[in-house]
Amino acid sequence: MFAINTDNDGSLRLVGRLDAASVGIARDHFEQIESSTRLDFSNLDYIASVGLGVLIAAQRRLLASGHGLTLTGMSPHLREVLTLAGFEGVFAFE
Amino acid sequence: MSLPLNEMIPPWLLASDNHLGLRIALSLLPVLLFLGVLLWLDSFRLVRKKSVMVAMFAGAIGALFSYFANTAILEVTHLPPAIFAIMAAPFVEETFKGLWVAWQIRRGQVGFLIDAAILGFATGAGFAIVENIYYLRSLGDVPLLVWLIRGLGTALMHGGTTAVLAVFLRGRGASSPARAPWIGAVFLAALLHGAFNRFMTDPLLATGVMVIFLPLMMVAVYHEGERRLRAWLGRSFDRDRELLELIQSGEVRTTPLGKYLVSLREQFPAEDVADMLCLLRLQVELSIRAKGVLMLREQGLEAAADPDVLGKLKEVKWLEKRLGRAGVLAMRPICHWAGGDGWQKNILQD
Repeated sequence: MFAINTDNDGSLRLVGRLDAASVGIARDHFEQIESSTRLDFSNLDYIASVGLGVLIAAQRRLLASGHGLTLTGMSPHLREVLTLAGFEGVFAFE
Repeated sequence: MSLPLNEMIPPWLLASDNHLGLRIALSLLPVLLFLGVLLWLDSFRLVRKKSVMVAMFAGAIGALFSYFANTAILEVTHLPPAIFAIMAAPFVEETFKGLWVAWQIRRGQVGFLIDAAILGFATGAGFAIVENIYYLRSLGDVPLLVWLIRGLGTALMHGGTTAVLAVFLRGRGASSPARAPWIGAVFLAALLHGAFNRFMTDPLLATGVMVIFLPLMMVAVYHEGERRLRAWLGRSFDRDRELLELIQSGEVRTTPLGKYLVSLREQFPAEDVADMLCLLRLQVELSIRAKGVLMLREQGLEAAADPDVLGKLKEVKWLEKRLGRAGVLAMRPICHWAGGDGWQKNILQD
């Protein structure tokens, strides 16, 4: 089960498992983002590489227009993996 | 060479008193331009420029060896040149062109179909350039059409057949010790090469087929290569991440991975097993890094610089040397890339 909720401050809260089965929901949602946005991972149980691919594609589109995604609430493990993968210079981490 | 000259060919292409610069451009540039397009289309940037240059050099050396081998075989067999060009020369030339790229694949320097195609084509391009330089010096004043055919037809054919050989080898997993993929790859490349030479009785047709067929073939290879790469990238990134989480959890001993490492203590000293665990962690971290770089490159983004990468690569090298071949082989069941996957190191060093 995967869902994206919008918080009062406009940030998006990812909930559940973002894997191959749910990546369509994420893609549809991220394609609507047109300005800098915070993505809160604190309620995300799991994100597969296919989900990261959707994030990267959205970030590329946003960077081209001077905006970007900020990733917050990541587990220490996910943060380390994304840092190891070199994503830290592409996304803003909080 | 008999040319089906007809009224459709512009007169300037039939003129023999042409400029040397034009001859050079027509005979050498098409294959280089095609190679440039292949590199440009590689969104994952799998191949380094240095590797392309080395591949072209290897192809050039292959051309020299082929020249001497072909001359010797012709002298011994006295085959008619037309038969020799179809039945013998393709096998000799594809063997010499394919040796370097096959060695690279065997060493793990070529990871995917796309880099196999590029490095194969580059090797064939190096071969074709030397061959065309030889003909530029030896043929003298011949119509520009000849150079057009040599540049667009023969040169692209040399690149294309070696690309086919490399893709076949990579696709069949030539890192295995089996000889069958190598024989099959040379046979396939030589068959295509021989077919082209057979059609050289009508060089315009042969060149036309090459100009149409080769780009289509490369598009198909890139399409399939990217599909496979993406699928592999997704699977292995997730697997590496889970493995790293397992190592970090501190509960390795209770897992099949931990039990395997404990079982290795019967054959290796305890300090070696500890080093294996260190090596496993480093390899997983570097593997995640390489895959992250590829995922970002596909979208035209650059990974953040990691100052620790070179140190980690040195540490891996040191640990592999300390553990020796037996130790590295013992790690294969849990760390399949141990001692291999040179392409991954190339990406990390970029």
